[in-house]
Amino acid sequence: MSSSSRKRFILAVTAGYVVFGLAWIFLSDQLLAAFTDVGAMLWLSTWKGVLFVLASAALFHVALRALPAADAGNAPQTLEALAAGLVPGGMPRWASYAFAIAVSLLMLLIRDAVAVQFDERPLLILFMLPIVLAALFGGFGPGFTATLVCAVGVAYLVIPPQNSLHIAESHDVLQWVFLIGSGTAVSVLTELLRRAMAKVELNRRLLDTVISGTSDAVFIKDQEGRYLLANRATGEFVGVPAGQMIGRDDRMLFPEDSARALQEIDRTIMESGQIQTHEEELRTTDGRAFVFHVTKGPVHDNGGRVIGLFGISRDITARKQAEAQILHLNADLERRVAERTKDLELANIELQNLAYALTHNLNAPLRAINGFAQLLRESHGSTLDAEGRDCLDQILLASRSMGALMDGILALLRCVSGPLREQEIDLSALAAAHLATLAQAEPQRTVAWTVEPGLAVRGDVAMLKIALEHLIDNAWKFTRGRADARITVGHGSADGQPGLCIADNGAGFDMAHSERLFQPFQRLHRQEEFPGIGIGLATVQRIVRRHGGSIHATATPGQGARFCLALPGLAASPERLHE
Amino acid sequence: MNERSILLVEDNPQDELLILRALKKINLANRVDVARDGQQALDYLFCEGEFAGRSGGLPAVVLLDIGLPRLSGLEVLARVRADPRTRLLPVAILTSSDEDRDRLRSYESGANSFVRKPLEFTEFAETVARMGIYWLATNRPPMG
Repeated sequence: MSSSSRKRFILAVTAGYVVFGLAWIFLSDQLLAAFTDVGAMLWLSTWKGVLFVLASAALFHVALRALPAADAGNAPQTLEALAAGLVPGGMPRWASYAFAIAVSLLMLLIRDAVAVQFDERPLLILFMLPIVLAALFGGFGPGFTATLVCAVGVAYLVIPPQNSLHIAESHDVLQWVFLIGSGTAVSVLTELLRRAMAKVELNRRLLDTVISGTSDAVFIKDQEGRYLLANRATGEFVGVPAGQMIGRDDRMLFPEDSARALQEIDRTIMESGQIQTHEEELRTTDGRAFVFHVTKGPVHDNGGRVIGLFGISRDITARKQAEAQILHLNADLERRVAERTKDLELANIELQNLAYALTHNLNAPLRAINGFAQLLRESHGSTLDAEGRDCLDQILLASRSMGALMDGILALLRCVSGPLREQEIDLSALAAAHLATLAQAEPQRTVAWTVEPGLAVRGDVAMLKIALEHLIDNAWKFTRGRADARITVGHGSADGQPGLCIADNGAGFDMAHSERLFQPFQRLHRQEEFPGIGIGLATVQRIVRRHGGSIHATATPGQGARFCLALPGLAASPERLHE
Repeated sequence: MNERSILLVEDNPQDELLILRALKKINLANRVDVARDGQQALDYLFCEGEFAGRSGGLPAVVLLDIGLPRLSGLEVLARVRADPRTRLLPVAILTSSDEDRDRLRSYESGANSFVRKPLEFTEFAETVARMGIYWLATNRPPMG
């Protein structure tokens, strides 16, 4: 029950009792004053007392039943019992009105029966009883109805002149008006009382529904750690019916270590007076283990002193186990990934070592083939015929291209596995220098070449030099035979990103085969057209990828090709170099 | 020209033939001694084992391959540098390898030169001849 509704309730009960009591005193003393006969006076006085006791007992009964149960531990059962009979007159509305009329008429009959003894005095006090009863069981409506019935009945039957609504004596009018006033006041106060009780009951039911229904343990302990309240869930966790927990403390309900831990936590909270949320790991006496997510806080009395502690505990054992399992699985997964990665790395290193060893070991026999063929040609060429010399030339040619292949493979391997040594690179300068070298080496060729200045990027200079020079070599190679050969190196767009483009107007290639362009040993031109080993572009692509970039090619057969490198951080402004 | 010679340490008979052929062209073949593995090279240098009775002192240069049976070229180099008699002996690595790693380790171990054997014989012969002339005639040895 909240404190404000409790106060209103107490106020209503007290006020009701005061009005009722005062009315009784005034009316009944008037009544007694009407008697001269001592015997009749005594008789009436006794009955007056009995009626007062009955009426006030009814009032107390209703009021006391609405007070909170002293033993809150049995809250659900108690609350249920209260809910069933709390508001008196849980009867239908029409029945409570009928009851009001019936008790009023009954009282008129009683009054009529005892009238002779009272010397025809009105005895209006008697009619407070039906009014109070009607109001108690039906609220304002029935109470007021009883008041009206009694008032009319009294005026007509009891107050002289009888069988007339007219009231002759002025003191009778006063009493009659007082009856109506008191009856109305009692009806109104009782109605207020009923409403307050209904509200209290509603709050209680809501709270009870939550506390009884939740799967969380809800409990209250006093300062000594004894349970004052424990809901069903609390009992289930502890393994004792909730009702049996009341009055017992954790030492009686949990194994010693758990109990000690609980008492320590509770003591801290009651000392600090702070609400606190934490996790508790508990073992029950029957050996079950729980992890709870707990909110605990102090319970204060009216003076603000800590008199106990409330707690709400949620069972998170399953969640904790799931979390632990996830952690375990993650760790396991990471371990397995690490293992596999290590295996893969080892396999990769082994493969690379194998490739290196293979390439190196092929060097010596290849050098022998080339060397002895050459020696044969030099020393014994004259004794061979033209066909024999031609055969030797083919052997030499083959050994040279095999040498070039092996160099290409080694270069590719180095670009895939070697470390990246990053530094600022002036790509424009590299490109221009290489084109100048090519032009110098073949002065008979006229190639119009231009390099846009200021192309710069951070990267491994050795690798990017290989990539750039290879693309320029290609442009140089595939423009062979064109009188108007043209090569441009400049800034361009590659797949929507800023890139460096090397364009020529040479042989180009069919875009249908472009996916084979970057695979090792794939060639798009016949050897006798444009000699090559078909590993350069594969290497270029690996280098660009290792720099986080990509390579894109566009070409038209007979009209030229354009290779663009999208390189992260590529700058086209000359200022970049001087930053 | 003085009487110093070249010690060629080479396990591949074809490479040996080609090297000798190249040196013969410039009339230096008669001044080459050949060791066919690392141990033999050390025996030669320290006049031990089969070379116990050898006279003639140290060669002008050792042309040392890296990939050798028994003791590798780098191990031979380490022993040579560790011994006071041969500590300053010029050693030129002549190998098929062009790995940064091999080059670096050779110089770290105290090689005086690192030369890759070219694949093309013409170039190979030229390179070997140049080396022969350089180490026998051009280069001034540390002692003698």
